[in-house]
Amino acid sequence: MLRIGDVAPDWTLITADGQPLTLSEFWGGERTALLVFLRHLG
Amino acid sequence: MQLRQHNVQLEALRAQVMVISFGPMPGAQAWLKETGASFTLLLDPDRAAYRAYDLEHSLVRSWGPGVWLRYAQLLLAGRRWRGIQGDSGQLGGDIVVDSSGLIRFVHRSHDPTDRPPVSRLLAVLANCSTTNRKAGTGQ
Repeated sequence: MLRIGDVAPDWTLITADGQPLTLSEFWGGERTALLVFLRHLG
Repeated sequence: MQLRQHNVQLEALRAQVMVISFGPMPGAQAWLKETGASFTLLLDPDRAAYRAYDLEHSLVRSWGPGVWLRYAQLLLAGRRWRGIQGDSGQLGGDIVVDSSGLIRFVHRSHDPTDRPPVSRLLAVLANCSTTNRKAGTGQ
């Protein structure tokens, strides 16, 4: 089970425009990622 | 999604909001348009990212009375019923990953109505932003 302070699992997913986006692209930059995982309610 | 009401604050905190859905593209795009959210939308049809972050799965908790009530509220508020797309037992969550790739906040939804307060998310993002500035990576 992931805990605070762990290295985040990396992934590459597809954007609504069909382009691949990899989470780790943001690492080393200035952006903090907020990942909102939807469920059937949205 | 209440987050969309805080776009200015999220940008000031240098937050990159990524909304991840396991539904098909047309449904996800319709959701984005309907909610007016301008966040980055990502598709995870195999739910590999959901599994990687240990997000839960429960058909029982996904269809409790509170969920039906929430659907009724959304429909009364003008949201359109698009049917259930994908595995309705898959639960969601909210995760904050800082700019060095470390997890700073985890909220795994116990049921579909269970989401952390936006104020809590903004506080975590503000803390990350402060750390970034001290480390010299932020503006």
